Amino acid sequence: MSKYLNLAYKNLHRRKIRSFLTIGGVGVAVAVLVSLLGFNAGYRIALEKDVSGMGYQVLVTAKGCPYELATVALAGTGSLRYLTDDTVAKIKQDKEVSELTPMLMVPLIKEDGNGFYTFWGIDKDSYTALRPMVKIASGKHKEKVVDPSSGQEVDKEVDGPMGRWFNTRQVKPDEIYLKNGRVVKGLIVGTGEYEKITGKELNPVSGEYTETKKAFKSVKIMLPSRIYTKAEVLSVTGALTLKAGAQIKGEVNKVDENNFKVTSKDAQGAEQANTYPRDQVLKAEDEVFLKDGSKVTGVILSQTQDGYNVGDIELAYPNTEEITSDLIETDSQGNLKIVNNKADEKSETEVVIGWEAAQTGFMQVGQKMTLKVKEMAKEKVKEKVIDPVSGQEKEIEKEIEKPVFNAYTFKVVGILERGGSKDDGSYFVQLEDAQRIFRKYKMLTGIGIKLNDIAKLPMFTDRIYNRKELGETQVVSLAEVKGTILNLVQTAKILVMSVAFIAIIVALIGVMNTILMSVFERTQEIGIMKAIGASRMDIFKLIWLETIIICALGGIVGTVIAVFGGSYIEKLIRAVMSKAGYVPAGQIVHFTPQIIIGCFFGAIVLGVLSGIWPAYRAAKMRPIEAIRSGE
Amino acid sequence: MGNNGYIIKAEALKKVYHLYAEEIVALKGINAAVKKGEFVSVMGPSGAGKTTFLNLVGCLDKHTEGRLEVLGSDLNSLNENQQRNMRLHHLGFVFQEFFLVKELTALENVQLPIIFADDYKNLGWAKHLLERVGLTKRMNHFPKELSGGEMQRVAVARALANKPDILLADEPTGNLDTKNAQGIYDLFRQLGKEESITIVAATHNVKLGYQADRVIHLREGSIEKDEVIVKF
Repeated sequence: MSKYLNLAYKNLHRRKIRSFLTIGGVGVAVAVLVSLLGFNAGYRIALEKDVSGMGYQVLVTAKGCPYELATVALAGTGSLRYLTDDTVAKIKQDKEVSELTPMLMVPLIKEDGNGFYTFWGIDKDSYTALRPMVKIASGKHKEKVVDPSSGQEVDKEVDGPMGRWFNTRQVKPDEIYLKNGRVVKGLIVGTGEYEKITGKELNPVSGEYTETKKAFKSVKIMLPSRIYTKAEVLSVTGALTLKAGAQIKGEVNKVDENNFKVTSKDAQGAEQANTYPRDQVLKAEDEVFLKDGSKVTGVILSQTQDGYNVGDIELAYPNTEEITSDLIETDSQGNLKIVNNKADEKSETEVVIGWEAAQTGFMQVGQKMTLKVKEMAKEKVKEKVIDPVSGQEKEIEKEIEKPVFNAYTFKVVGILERGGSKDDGSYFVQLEDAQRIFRKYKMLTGIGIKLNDIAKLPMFTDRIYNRKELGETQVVSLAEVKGTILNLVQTAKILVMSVAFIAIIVALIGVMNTILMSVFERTQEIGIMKAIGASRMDIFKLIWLETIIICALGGIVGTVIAVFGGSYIEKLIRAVMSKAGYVPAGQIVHFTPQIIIGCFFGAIVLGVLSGIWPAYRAAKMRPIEAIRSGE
Repeated sequence: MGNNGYIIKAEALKKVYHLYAEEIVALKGINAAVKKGEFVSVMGPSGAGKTTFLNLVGCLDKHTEGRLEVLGSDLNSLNENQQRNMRLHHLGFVFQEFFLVKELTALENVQLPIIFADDYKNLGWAKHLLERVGLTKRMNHFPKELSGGEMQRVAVARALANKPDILLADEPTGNLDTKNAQGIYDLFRQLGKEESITIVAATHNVKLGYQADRVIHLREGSIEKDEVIVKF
């Protein structure tokens, strides 16, 4: 082959622009291929790193869509469902559980709506035992300390650990003492105003009952899981709040996964049932009126489960009891007897932050950190509408969700070592603090579990599902999560690979076209070479070599583009994928020598294939015709 | 070689071209023979069949009827490989338009047939040939940097690269001025004498044509006259 090299090179050199364009075309195709294969390899590695970096093998969460769960487990987005924190104790009894740690993940929407602050409420001791890779960083750094002489905050150079884990502190529930002796323990989440039916009287004239309603100030308190016995409950109704704003009262039932049915009685006492599709519904709640006069809002789990008395009600999280002030005991000064531990929030909540979170937020140990976030808040508004039946204007009350801007303040006590995982961008606080601050009283998003023997996972899963008292839980092994995500990515990959395949076909046709054109242009020259003694094979090899040179150079250009542009490709894929869901934290485009060498040889194969036809055409030319064509 | 010392022997050589539906008889069955070492001019007006004859002898085309023997083998009976071998080792061809490869220097052009013959140890021969045709100082020039006469000298050197038995030249001086044309013919005569190469050159330049040992006059595809030139 070497004897043609000089000639082939000179031929290509003569048509500089065309050769460059063709090389560029092949280069782009190869760059696409290299990037895609790099992504293919890198994504798997990054995902595996994420999964093995979890430290636990099994995650117990509230039941939901497995894809959603997979996303929640690894990235912390999507709509969250909660477990109650008594589940931890229940699961701990299982003989297969070696270690476990409860976790509450709270994604806070940034003020500008662009991304999240991911907070993890953790139990420091069990969490660090299960995930030893999460540890305080060390090295030369600056800390904020208070100068004892001036009382001012100053920077201090420190060489050593970057702070420490937060101190465990006791967080007490809020308490409301009722006149009837009941003490309601929970988390006070606000005050409200609500109407209480004080009595029903028969109107002798109309023969109808009229209700006496009275508005009361109330305190809203978030409660732990609790069973309300039949003896405590006065009545139960439901309320379906539509996204459009209307609230429909009645008995709320789920018809199926996508529809809710509300059965209500109209003024004449006739039963009326309406079905509402899930996508129109904002929330479905039950209202349980207690005999002591308070009202609990939540979702009834089951009224007739094993172990309960018929008629007892267990409410799922989140549930809120609304207690009117007239039910609350007063002290001698006439103050309501409410113990609100909210004061604890004012003392600085300690936070340990991930490496990246520290870098991007310019955070130092000892510093105060204020995060501005956007939250959705419910608000009741009154609206005048025209009643379609009577044609008269009437006022309805509706509950709407609107964004409110909130700020949370913490004290940074530690910065974590860089781990190349999503932990780098996370914020860690004590579980009870997280539950209180973010109003997720006694709630968890997941429980990380390490089993004594991972092979016994199916048995463990079965046992968890068979224990009804655990409610609607889901056991996800991280191996499954990985599989699920890889499945999702696989589908996308097939599509992308087809695009790459098309790019290669286009490059192949492009190269073939260029060489064929140059063969036709050089008909005479080829004829002369044959006339002075070149064989068919000589001509074939010469043209073939030209094609292979173009493709080999294209291969080099393409790999160089891909490798040096890799960080941009990574950014691009990350941007696209983060919109779709979960992206692993590590490097997702990873070029191995095999990929680079493989693609380079692939380009040569491309040259070998696309050169055959033009080379054959050139070799077949008869010298006499070739010479004549020049005349 | 045999064949009574004839290196080229044509018997009732006929060549018919098909141009669309038309049939063009370029050679009407000519008989001619060339001895080894002879310098033969083929003369005649345009369309007489000079180029056709040279192309047939040069193994660039196949004849329609009759017999054409070169170095003792019937050209029509040669396969692709044997034809190529004939062109590569036994024949040298010089064209009116020089037909040098534009991207290659004079030296590289001359080396090309040697490369095709895989005869690398004789690459130096190309240099010798260029010296021989008087282009010692122009070896590394590209065709576009050479004059017409120089280009034709390169073409002659290229034709001689694999030490052929026969040098075929089709109007080699057609694009040259008188002085350069004479130079090429001087070179032919010299080569014939020193290397005993058989030379067949087509021309319609009477003055040059008669410098050969023998002149074959072609007219409308037939031999009009075959005269041996006696020089004193």
